[in-house]
Amino acid sequence: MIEALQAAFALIREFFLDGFVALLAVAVVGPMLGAALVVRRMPLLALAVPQLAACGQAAAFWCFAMFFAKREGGVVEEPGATIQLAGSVAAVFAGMLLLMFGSARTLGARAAIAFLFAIALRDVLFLETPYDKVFEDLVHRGRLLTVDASGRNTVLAASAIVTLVLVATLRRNQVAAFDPDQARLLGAKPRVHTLATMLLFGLYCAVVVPIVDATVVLVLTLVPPIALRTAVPTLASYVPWCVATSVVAATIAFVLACTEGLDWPPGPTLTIVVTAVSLTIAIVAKTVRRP
Amino acid sequence: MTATVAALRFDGLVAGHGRRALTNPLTLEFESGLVHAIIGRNGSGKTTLLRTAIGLHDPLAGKVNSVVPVSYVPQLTDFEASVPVSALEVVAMGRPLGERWSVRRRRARETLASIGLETEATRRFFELSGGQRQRVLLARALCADARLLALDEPTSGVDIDAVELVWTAIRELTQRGCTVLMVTHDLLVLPHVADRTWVLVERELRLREGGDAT
Repeated sequence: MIEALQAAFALIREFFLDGFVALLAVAVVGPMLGAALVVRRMPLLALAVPQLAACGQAAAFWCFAMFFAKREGGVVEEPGATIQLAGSVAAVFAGMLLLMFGSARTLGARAAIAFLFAIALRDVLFLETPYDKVFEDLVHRGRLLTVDASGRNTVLAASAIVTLVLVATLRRNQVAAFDPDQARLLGAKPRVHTLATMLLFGLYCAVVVPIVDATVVLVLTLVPPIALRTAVPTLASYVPWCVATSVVAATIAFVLACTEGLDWPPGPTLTIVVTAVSLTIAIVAKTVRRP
Repeated sequence: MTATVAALRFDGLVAGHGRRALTNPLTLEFESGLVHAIIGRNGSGKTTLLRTAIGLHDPLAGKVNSVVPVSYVPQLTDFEASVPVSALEVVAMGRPLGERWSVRRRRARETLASIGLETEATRRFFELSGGQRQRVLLARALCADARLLALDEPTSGVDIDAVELVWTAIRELTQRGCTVLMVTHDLLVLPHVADRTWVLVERELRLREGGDAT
């Protein structure tokens, strides 16, 4: 067992360190963003936006194959990171703009529809391109094991910027989430903060999803904040617990994916492990807190 | 009790939603250091007037002048129950946004202790009883050093046994110089608590005869 773990860590160090570092960055920032969205009753938005980014990425593949790709000996050139990023950014902001129309009360319902629509459109767009292999890898394995140094740096930079903004606005967001009227009396603007949080999340997804895949962002953003919301007693402990849970679960999942003999696909493994760890911690915390 | 200075003044204030006015232009003053209660029928615009008075709604016309800082306690059902927040954190939310956490926490602890709720400091706000929650919110006003406190149905959702404690806490606030403006349906205790009772009827806010308890 220990030998298998040592071998897995050696494998990560040698070949997949960039993917692991990118995963840890998302594991820190994702729950911070997720906590802000969950306490504002916008978890469905957190569900839809990463899928919109993935859909935009697929659209970039489709457009590139249709109009720009060079074909040599049956091999079709793939779009570069910049083109994928452009597709992702365009889809996220177009989708979010459409979601803004209508009442705030039905935003969740619209986001749920956008989630389903984006998944379906992504499938159609990929199946209409010559990149079946890329799509198969995305669906079944995720992209964590193919992250390179450039992708890692992009994820780290985006994560650092988002962390700074979130930490700077943490108190305003917390007061606005619990009691918007009190936030207004203290000089904050709850609606502006909500909009800013949504845009920040959209931007983060647009940049990070083409590199690490939508599932990674979605799971790490949503699962720990939702599972731990009723388990922690204070706002001050909410985000740290979500981040700690997410980092531990992400590490376990990545090691499992790199363990010889197991070789589980990283994307689905992450979903299973993060959910299991989050729910276990939530149940234990609730049991301990019960008088 | 002597009260000469106005804590709140309406100058031709018209409160309402959208383009729909719920009051005629109101020009009146609320004396400081007193408990002012506003009563009226459901839908008459009491809560809208209260929120307009403290700047949470824009007036349709006229203006409001009030002392600062202002604190507001909405109905207990208006809070987002999914937020994991402790009693101590709720009280600390009364302090200015830029204040250091260590200072806010100390002030919040002192305030909770002053109203006998220090043992509940680390409990989740939504696990407290209705009466305890209301007292925590009043402690938030106390912690904010509020000069004007607006309350929307302060005894709604509070156990009968705890109502007296809530009124005591409100009285303590006025003794510290805070002016209280509240909307309530609790007509039975009104004569014992309110120094002035205002009736919102036919879009006018009228001081009720015998409403001066001082």
